[in-house]
Amino acid sequence: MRTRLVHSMTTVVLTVLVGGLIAATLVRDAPGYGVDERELDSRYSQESIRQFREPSQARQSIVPFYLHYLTRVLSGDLGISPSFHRPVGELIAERFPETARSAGAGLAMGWTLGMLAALAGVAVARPGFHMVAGGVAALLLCLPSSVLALIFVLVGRMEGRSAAAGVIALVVFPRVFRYARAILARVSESPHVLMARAKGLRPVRLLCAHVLRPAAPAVAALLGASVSVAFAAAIPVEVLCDSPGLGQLAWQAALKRDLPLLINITLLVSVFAGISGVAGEMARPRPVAGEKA
Amino acid sequence: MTARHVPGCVVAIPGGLDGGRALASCAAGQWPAVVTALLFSACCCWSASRPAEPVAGGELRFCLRAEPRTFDPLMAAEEPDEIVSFLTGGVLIRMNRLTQAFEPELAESWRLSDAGRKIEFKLREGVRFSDGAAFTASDVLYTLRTVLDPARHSPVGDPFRNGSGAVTVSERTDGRIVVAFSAPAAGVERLFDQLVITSARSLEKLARPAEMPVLGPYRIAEYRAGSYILLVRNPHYWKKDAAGQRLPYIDSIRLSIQQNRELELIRFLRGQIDLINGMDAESFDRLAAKQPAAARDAGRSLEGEQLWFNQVARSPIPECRKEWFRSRDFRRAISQAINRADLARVVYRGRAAPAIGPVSPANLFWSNAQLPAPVFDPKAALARLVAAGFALSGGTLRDRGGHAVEFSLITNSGNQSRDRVASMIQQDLARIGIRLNIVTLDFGSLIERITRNFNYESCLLGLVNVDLDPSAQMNVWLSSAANHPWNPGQPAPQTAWEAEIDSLMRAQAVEPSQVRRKALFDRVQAIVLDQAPVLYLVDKDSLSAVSGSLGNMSPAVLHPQTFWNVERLYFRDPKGTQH
Amino acid sequence: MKRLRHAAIAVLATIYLAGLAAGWLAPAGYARQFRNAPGATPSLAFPLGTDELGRDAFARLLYGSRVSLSLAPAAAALATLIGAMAGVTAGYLGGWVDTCLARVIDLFLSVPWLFLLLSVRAALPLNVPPVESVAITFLLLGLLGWAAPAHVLRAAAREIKSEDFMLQAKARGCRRVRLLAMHLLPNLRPMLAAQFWTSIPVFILSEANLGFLGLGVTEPLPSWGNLLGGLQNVDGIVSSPWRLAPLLLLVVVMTCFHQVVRLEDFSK
Repeated sequence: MRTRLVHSMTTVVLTVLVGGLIAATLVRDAPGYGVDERELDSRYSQESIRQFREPSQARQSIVPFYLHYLTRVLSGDLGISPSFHRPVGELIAERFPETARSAGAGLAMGWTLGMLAALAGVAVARPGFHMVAGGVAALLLCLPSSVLALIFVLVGRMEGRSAAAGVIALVVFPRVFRYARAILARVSESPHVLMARAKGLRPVRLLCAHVLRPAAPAVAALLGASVSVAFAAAIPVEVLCDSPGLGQLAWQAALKRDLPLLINITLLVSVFAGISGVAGEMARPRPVAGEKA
Repeated sequence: MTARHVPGCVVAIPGGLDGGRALASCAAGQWPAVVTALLFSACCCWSASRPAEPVAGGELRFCLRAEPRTFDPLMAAEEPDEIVSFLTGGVLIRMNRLTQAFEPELAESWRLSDAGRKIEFKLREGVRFSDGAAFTASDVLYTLRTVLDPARHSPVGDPFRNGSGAVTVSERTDGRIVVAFSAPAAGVERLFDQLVITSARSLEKLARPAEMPVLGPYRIAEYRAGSYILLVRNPHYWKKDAAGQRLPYIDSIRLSIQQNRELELIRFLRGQIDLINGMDAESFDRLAAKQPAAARDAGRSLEGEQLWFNQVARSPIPECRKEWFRSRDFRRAISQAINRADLARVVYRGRAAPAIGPVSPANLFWSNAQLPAPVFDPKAALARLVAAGFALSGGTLRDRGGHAVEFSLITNSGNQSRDRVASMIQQDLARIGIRLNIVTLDFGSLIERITRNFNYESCLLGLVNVDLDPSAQMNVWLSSAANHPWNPGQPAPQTAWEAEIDSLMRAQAVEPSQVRRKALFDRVQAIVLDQAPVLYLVDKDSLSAVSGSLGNMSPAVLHPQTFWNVERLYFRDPKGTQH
Repeated sequence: MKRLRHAAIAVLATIYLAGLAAGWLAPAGYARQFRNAPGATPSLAFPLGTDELGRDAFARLLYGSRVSLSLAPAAAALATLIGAMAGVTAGYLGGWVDTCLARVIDLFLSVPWLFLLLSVRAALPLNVPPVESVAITFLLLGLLGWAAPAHVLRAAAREIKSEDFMLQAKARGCRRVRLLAMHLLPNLRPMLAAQFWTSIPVFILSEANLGFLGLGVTEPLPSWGNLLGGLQNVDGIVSSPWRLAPLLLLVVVMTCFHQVVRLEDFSK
């Protein structure tokens, strides 16, 4: 177990480092990098505009830049955000709890709703229920998250973190529902479940002991992906719901090509995606002797 | 053109219907009741016609559309920074946004001398910072020397140095401050409207904005990143009203950071915010349908939309297209083919007007009223193109070389109105056989194309003039300037008309006579209209939303439209605004 | 249930055909601006009213179907296919292959690919036709959107691999390729189907969101993504409920897809 954990965490760290390098390369090579909006401001003198252009014209190669950045990170310096003029560490520390709370609450609600709906679908097994549940999930998949956010604000009279959590829940729910229902439906047709049902086992016990338990590792595998989905949903939702979280920060950083901020946010998301993936793997039962992992 | 103005105060005059009923009952012999009712009505009318006395108190709430990047007033470049700076900063001279005249603030008076080379300020006495420290000449000297430091690249300081030569600042023995320019600086007062006077103590506390001492009506009390900024009244603010009451009337201002305009409007409709400074036409119409009294159209603003063609010789676009864009007849024809009235009516719902030239009529003094209005005439446009060597065949316009006239128009993404303008222009040009491809880009990519690699063909962007004086536009009109839209950074003017514009702009920048300056700048506007390097499409109206509970509200066309007189705004019922 | 599936197929076919026949059903076209009737209410001339520029909303919906209903499912199929290949390979083979692919999947889920999309757009000529530009966008979305399906399919493959029937087949000498093709993949069909049709609206909405950065469909070409983006004026929907037509149509299409690739049929 310990070996597995160490092995998994090592690969996560390597993945995070490579992810940061790819992110840095993409941002640096994307159009608009190094461009300063102040160049369009006619108040500035020619000399000032020349100064604004200089840093982007004297760019160092990406690998030394990234290595230098990693060295600073190891000494606790995450860099200064050129768009916010503040240390990146400070910005992330300020915004992270907000996103953690809204995304965490959203994920919890979305998973709860999704799993309950999937279990109900397996237990009820009526076409009408499937149609309604499927229709609701389809509707939620089709609605832009920005519209969902506005509905929460307009109809629900919610703002900020509660609205963001609600929207994230509704974004995560249909994905969890669809996938969980597929897994649970397949497991519920297994011979041992049919046998248990034939022997008169109560539906609740049947579901919990014989359907949910074997399906849990496969369902848990969705956790890593849903963390990424929740974070991706948090970006427009936090901007719309006026929730000062990482999503709002990431959006502003993307618009302004704020490289230090974007690299750090990418690393953070990679760490979370990696850890939740590893957690999902740890939850999986160990392979039988003679069988490959 | 005078701005259309909707009265800011809605005064309910009671008695009309009651008075009528009272008269009817007279016939039944109840004339004492009639007299009483009439007297009562008269009293009410008299008291209603007297303006309500401003009452202190309350919290003003409105939104910033982005996070402020800095609280340093000398580096405020973007709208949120400028708003905070305006609300907390004291300046030597302030332009009255309604009359567009300059008024004394921290400077009791000022004097221009030496043919416009010097400006001298007599400072107001007894003024204190919000921390109680006295305001002195050394603060003005410190501010000016800091902002004039070229290494600082201050958007407030750079305009001081846009002319040639150094700017010196000194204090006379009588305490007056003298700012001296090496060459005459026309329209120099306008520079001081943006220059917030600060102190070294204040700038040391940028990381803790709540501790920054300021000279304006408010100071920062709280700042929660991504969420809000709370301003509270400056207890030592120097200004008083006519009755001797210390200003500002309103106790505090809460600025929420709200990027989404839809949510901003929803919050206003719910009464969660008190004003919206600058609205788009669609939101304005929705507001007007629900709360007509709150919707304020102050008339034409200094904001507009413009389109220009890439005339940079070294740009990587096809040579045939460069030739088209360099042709005055081509540009004039495109201008004639665009239906500006439709743009104003459909996209801006009538809350805009076809633009005539580079200066909106909202700029009362500098706009050239003699310029002819652009005429929408696709037939004339086509005739002009044919005369220039183009030919229409099979519904497609072709040049002399047989190339189909097709080009792209870049604009920034995420702006619905601009997308619609581009769409309508696309349809207009299709009528004369020109195919226009609309390309929306994120702002960073767009700036890179129009300022660095010049890999674009035509560009549609908004135009915002925050400064009325043409000297503020030197970096746009001079052919050598970096912000010269169609062909920036020319070592020497490539056309005779650009050379003429250069000469006229340099002349007006040092001309002491306003009348002569106006004549010179009128000529610049006439050349621009004739040569059409930039097509001016519409001038937008200044639209805002204002709660009926606010008094002394007079939305202007200049920024900040609704709270330019923030120290004199008041709530009719301050207790109702406590949260 | 068979009748329901036939009905779903009929509805889908009708919508597809309507899109193809847009030129006859809506002769006004999607680009023509009736500037004297912006924001018009539904009428005989304009069954779904007009948009803010006076363009026939019904025509835009039909023409938008062509773009979204052909490109979004294609992108979803591509993403699901790549995801299936990576996920099934990782889950089935296990060992270092599984570890490496799992990390590649995590990488793809965390890197901001938005900037790659921006770079590709910048590399395209300015005068590229709108249809080509949006096709390239959807292609990229498909190429980059495989990680989420791969993640779940990998886990599913690992579970199925350790099922009794798989062990039994292996014990009987079934070769790897046959195990994969005849036993593993058929049991993964419900998940594959779920991933496929869950991805369709995701890609349609992604195209709408990318429009904010200039990466969506360019004017005047309509797509369901940019039509759905118009729903942001939530207040206006109450007074103009016909503006919900693109959303309702998308929900109908989604539901029909679900009926056509119904899970119950694959769970046996």
